[in-house]
Amino acid sequence: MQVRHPLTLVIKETLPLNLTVENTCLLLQDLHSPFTDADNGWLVNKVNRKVLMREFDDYFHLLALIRPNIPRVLEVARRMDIRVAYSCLGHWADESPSLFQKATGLAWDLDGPLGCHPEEWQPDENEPVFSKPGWSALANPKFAAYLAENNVQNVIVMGAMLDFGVRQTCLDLSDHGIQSLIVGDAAYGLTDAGHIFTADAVTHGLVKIRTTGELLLLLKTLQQQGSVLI
Amino acid sequence: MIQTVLGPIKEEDLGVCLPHEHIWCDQNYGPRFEVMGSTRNPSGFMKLDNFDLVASELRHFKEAGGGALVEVTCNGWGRDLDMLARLSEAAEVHIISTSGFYIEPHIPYFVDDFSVEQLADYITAEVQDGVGDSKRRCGVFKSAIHRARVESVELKVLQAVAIAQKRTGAAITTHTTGGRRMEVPGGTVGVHQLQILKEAGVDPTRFIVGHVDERPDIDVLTSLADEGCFIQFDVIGKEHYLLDETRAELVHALIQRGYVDHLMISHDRNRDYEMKYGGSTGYCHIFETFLPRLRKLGVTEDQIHTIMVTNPARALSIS
Repeated sequence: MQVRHPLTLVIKETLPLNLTVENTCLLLQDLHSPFTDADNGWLVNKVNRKVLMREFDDYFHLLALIRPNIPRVLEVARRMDIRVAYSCLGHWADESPSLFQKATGLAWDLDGPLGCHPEEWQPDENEPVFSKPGWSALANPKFAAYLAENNVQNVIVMGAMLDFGVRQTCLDLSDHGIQSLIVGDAAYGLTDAGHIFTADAVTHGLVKIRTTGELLLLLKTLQQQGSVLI
Repeated sequence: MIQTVLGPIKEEDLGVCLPHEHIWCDQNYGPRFEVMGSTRNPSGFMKLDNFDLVASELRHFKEAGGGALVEVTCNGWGRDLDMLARLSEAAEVHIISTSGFYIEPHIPYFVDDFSVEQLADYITAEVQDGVGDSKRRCGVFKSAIHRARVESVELKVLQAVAIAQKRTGAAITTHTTGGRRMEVPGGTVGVHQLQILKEAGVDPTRFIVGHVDERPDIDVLTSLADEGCFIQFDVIGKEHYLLDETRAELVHALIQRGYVDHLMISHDRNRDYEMKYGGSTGYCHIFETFLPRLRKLGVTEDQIHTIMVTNPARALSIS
């Protein structure tokens, strides 16, 4: 049975985003080792030990599909001097695990190996990495402050757990008056069905989704014209 | 005159017509795959490519009272007029093929290099002179959007279609929603398409606004009809967009408001699982489930005839 989205029948349209280099931030969310190391990461080790790998087939399949797209977008953003930031579920050594982290057990120490990113999308020195106490990047007020200080009006999001963290971040950004665009094939859900459902549901008037191919064409226009309307 | 893949027919010979269907297509041929995104699963792509099964499906349609179908697969993802001609002969139904182009991922790369005028010449020839060696002719033009606005290569196609429409008189049928429907005011870019077409001098009565039942807004639909356009409920049976019950109520409401001469209905069948051989209702869904809903609401046989016979014949007529 296909899921229906009747809210779309009565709401207004998603407002366009007007991207410039200055008002835009590329956010890489939850793309650190626990989620994305498919060989020896926290998640893969956990599900293997508990004989639950089949339940996560979709997750690792989607990760493999989107993996090449992340460095492609990142490389273009860096070349264009678009601001890049990272947000990672976990806590620094000088922070306590949050209530969410205690409840779920996802209380990773980001100062250790669990805070590492794959070689393809390692943060540069000037790119901030924010700890994330809950699903939303904005659960860390320092990230909200960073966006405000830099007059960021649009956030392009790539990341793991589209149906949990990425979705929550985009909704919270909207609450902060900041528009967001998810790179639909550089973000991935926990399951195929979750990915499809969230991609449909999250766009109800709030968030835009574009593929990597589409986004790169739009960034090319931005580079040529100084801004691009999406 | 209406131009089918087997040659011209008189308007009165068209019969009951489904104006937006696929008969032979394969989305895997889409040349700009990257635009669709790497998480799209090809197993869910639109694809119909088994002659015997499709022919049997068309025979079911014929037996149920069907006379004609507009096959809206365009150049770029498996359009095959010779195959359509064989199917038309095998099932004894009229098939009208489509010139123009589908959404951005399915537009061949040569379109990038053509000017609007060159593109207009190219698609005009598909209607006036025919396609390929067999020179079978298309009978309608198509324009589509993948983005939330008509822009880029899709705008070029619409501008070319406008020129070709004025040269040939053939109608324009459009794809107006898709994955971007939540981003478009009123749920359809038909309004934007109409604006572009009118600026290009196209008569709005030659414009069929498709897919209006993916995210319908009755105020937008009546304003389009007031301009003279056809408004086409053409994803009937796809209830993840809208319940058929709601579609029937909307069609009924539009008839009550005086718009019966602007309405057309179809299914947009394009996958095996939607067909009778796939366990669904195929091209007979409207006969088997939707018309009974309309009748129950009080829609008359004359009004159904207008929607399924008179209006398609008028829309597809090339003077």
